Amino acid sequence: MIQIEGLYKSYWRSGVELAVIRGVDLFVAAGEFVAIMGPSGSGKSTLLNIIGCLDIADQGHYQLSGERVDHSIPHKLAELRARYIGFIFQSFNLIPTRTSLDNVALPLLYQGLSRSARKSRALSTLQRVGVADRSTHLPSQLSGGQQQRVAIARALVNQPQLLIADEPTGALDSRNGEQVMKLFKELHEEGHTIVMVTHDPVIGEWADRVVSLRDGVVV
Amino acid sequence: MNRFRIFIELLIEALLALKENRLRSLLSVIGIAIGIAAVMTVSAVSSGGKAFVLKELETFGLRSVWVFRDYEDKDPNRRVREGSGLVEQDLPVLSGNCCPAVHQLSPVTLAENDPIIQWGNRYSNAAIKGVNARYLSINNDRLKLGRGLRQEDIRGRRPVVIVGETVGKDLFPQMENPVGSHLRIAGRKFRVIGVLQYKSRDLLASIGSEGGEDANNRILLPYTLVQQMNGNREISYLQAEAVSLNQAERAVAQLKQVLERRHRGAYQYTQVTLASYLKTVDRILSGITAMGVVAASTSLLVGGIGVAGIMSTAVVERIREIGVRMAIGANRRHILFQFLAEAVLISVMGGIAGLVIGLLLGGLLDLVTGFPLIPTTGGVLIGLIVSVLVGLASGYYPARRAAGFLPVEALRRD
Repeated sequence: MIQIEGLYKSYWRSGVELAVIRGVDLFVAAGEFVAIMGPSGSGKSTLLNIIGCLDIADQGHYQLSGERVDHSIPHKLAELRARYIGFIFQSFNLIPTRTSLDNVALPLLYQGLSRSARKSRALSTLQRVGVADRSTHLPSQLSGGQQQRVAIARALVNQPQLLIADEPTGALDSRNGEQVMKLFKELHEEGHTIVMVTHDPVIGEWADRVVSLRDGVVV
Repeated sequence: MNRFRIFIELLIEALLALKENRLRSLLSVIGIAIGIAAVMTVSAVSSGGKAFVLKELETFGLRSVWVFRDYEDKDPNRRVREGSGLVEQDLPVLSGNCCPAVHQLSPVTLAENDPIIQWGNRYSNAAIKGVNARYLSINNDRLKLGRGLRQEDIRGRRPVVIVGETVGKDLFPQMENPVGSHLRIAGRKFRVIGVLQYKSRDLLASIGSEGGEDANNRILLPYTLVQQMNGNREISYLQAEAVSLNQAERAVAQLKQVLERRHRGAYQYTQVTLASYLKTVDRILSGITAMGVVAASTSLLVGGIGVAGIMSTAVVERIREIGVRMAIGANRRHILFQFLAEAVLISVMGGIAGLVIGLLLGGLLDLVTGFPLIPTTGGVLIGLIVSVLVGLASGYYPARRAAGFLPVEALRRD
């Protein structure tokens, strides 16, 4: 699913170059559930963003589902994101002025699906994650756990092969965090490939495999 | 088809975003509306003004030219010449084939010693003009009642007159139809054969450019009779109709040439043409319009800058949303289109509101002042096109900025 070789990424912070990823190789097989762990500043989020085609690497080769990811073409990156990847964020990132249903249906809009098709697929996806009864609620009317379920539904609605999750339990209490991990486990068992960043070893336990990052290299 | 549906949906997304910021959207819409309304009103005032002036100038006959002696022609080395430089004998030549640019022509002879005009114990202060049978047609005069002068009236020096409305009211206040009644000019009895239709020259009268003549306080009679009253065979001036508006100057030149030749250069002649007035009016109004449009466009520009400002703020405020949208499948073009659509929607709504305000304002002004404002279809169309362009121009930079973010940058900000 993911083949990464020799990845480098640095940022410029007030005139100083900061190497964040310093030669990472990573292979993730289709259907794997991988947790990337490491202390803050280890570059795990940057690596995840590059895997999710949200950020661009300075150097290295990256193949996603057999397709070479060319970081120089933003349009191509958008296409890859739309076709293969569903994102789950720490702070849910739901659009606050839209209902759960609208939030979940939004990715389908960019696919050009009709209104009724979007609605029915969004509803069945909300059902799948267990919050169909909250479809007409605004994010502010939902608990954190419910919001994250809606966000997961939004990530799933496009039926992506790869789920990318950045600290998915970071904003949740342990009970809700466990619920979300249970859902991840189910999704994994259904065949989704999941790459998740976390700094919480308890959450890392849920993954098949843990990749540890320190100072921009895999340890 | 798919792509079309996406853009329709993005247009709806843009509308939703505007609805979420109702007050702010409304204020921006008002900004544009004021600008468009101002531009609309200015252009309507100008076209209305043009029509208004034209309508009044038409009361002189648009193709009219006046030729008269240039009284500043006196050569200090020569004896001062008396007279108008126009005499009866000139007429057969001038009316012949001399002047192809002249369609028709009338001599005008004014009474020299303010004769008293009366009927019974009622008096009139009307202007007396001796003319021929062609005059009414040249001067764009219509008859309300009765008939015009005929060739026989001129040749036979028949004591008949055509009177303006005011004359009729002054002398025959009780009569619906003064045709057939009589009046006295310098003691001599004349029969009224026609009444002129009312002519409105409110604007020209108000700016004092009517040459001191009230169009409705005139008495027209055979010029031969006025010559008789004056005791000579002079003609005060010529009023002619050119074959077309563009031929007015040529008609004047032809008439002047004939006159100078006939009088062997004894007099010089000058002229007034409505064509040149029209040109002047047009130039003045175009100048005023241009200034007005510039001034009005400034308010439109300010409105546009307002929209650009609002959109820039919206992009900063919604940067995280932009990142999310990119993460879940939007490409740069989708983001660009959505924000551009917001700006254009604001601007077009403003444009439509502005057109409506402009039309209402124009109607109100027309009602209050009687000054006609003429909104043209072209003006309305241009207003709409301009508002789309303003939207595109003011939305382009913010929308490009929104679309240019790397998703990770957009998601990182708060």
